[in-house]
Amino acid sequence: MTDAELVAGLKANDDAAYREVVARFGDPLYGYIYSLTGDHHMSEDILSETYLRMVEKIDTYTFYGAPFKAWLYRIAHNLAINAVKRANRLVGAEALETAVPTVDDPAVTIAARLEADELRAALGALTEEQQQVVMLRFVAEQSTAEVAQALEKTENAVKQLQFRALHSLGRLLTRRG
Amino acid sequence: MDEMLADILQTCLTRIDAGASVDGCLAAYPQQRDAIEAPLRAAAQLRALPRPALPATTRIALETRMLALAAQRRAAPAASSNGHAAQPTPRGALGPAALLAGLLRALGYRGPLALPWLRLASVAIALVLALVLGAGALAAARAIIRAIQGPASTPTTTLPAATPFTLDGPIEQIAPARWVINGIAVVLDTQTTVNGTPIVGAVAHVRGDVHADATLLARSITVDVQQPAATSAPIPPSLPSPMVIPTTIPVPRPDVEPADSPKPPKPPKPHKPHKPGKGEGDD
Repeated sequence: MTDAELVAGLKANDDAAYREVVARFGDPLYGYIYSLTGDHHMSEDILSETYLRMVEKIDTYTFYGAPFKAWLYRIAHNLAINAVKRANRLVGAEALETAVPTVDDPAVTIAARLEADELRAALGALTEEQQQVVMLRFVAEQSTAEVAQALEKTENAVKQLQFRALHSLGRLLTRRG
Repeated sequence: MDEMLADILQTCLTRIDAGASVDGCLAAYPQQRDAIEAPLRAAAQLRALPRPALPATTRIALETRMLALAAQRRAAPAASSNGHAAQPTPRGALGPAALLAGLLRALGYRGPLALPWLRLASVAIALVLALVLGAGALAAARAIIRAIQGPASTPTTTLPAATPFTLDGPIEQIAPARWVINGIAVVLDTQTTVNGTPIVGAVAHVRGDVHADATLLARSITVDVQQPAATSAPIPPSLPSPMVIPTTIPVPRPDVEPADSPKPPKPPKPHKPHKPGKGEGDD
């Protein structure tokens, strides 16, 4: 099912399209949201809210060539950022415990937790636009062109944003490390 | 300068995507190493952020919710106010609303641009409709509640205030204000007339009323003349002062003929004092 067919199916309230949108984007969206929140319960709620927003707004969505997932990610990103702000935290300790793969060496596990913890904290220090660019590029694994389409920017602008974001992030992480 | 570094960083990221290592990329740009090393390592860390899969139960719940939402939207496509509803409106579903809209349009109603009196009139009509529909909804809700509660309610509530009945059978017990005839308790009051000699074992013919609380109140009792049974109990010399024992009396058996009354529950078993079992009540 192409993006255009998927959007048409969603607009027609077709069961197959609704199933497809969950099957195709459920996992990556959940992982993306989790990367921002670090909390399983919050991520589940935000994912559910993302889909609800999608249904609410699907009738006004116009498919103009940009990947449909870019729109979904944007909804998810905004909801996640707002939820994190509301919760006034970037990382849930419980989430890190469950999300970081269990390793035999406890020192490695703790290190991985701290790394994820620090990274999320550093992400919180970026501007919203920078956050969105690096998250879409490196967590949602979208190309520069896709991010540019999603954010309605030129590829060059995205490259600049990406550089500034990674530069700030690298500096913050080096300082913390 | 930033633009050049941004390009180099982009090139390195593309190489890393293709399988190159961070160190390999840094080696390719020794002069820019200081500027791009930290960003490249930050990108690698971002890529390594844990991205757990959606739990299966959550996925199923989500899909179920989405399908319900789709069904809901299919059922009420007209609810979409943005004019993009994909499904046609079921014929007749909006009949009254369309009629009203047509009438208002015929009168010259053009939304906010319409004449003030017409706008006020449309608001008034909308208010009246809302009140009428609201009252209808309330009545419907009450009817539904009644329908739901109906089967669960006790038979006594469905009985008329006093339904006539007749009962024939042997007298099993005689108490001052309560007899048991053919296993059914009958209440007597000062108005009850007793013909014949009431003794246990004799056949009695009772006429009376079934009251709302399922009490069988005898109006007249006729006792057949019969040889008294050996175990007959002494008959009280006269019925004592009027009293109706406020006991819920079970419904007559098939040989009782209450007119138009539903089947009530079986007679309650005689109460036995509760003997605490072993351990019961122990702390």
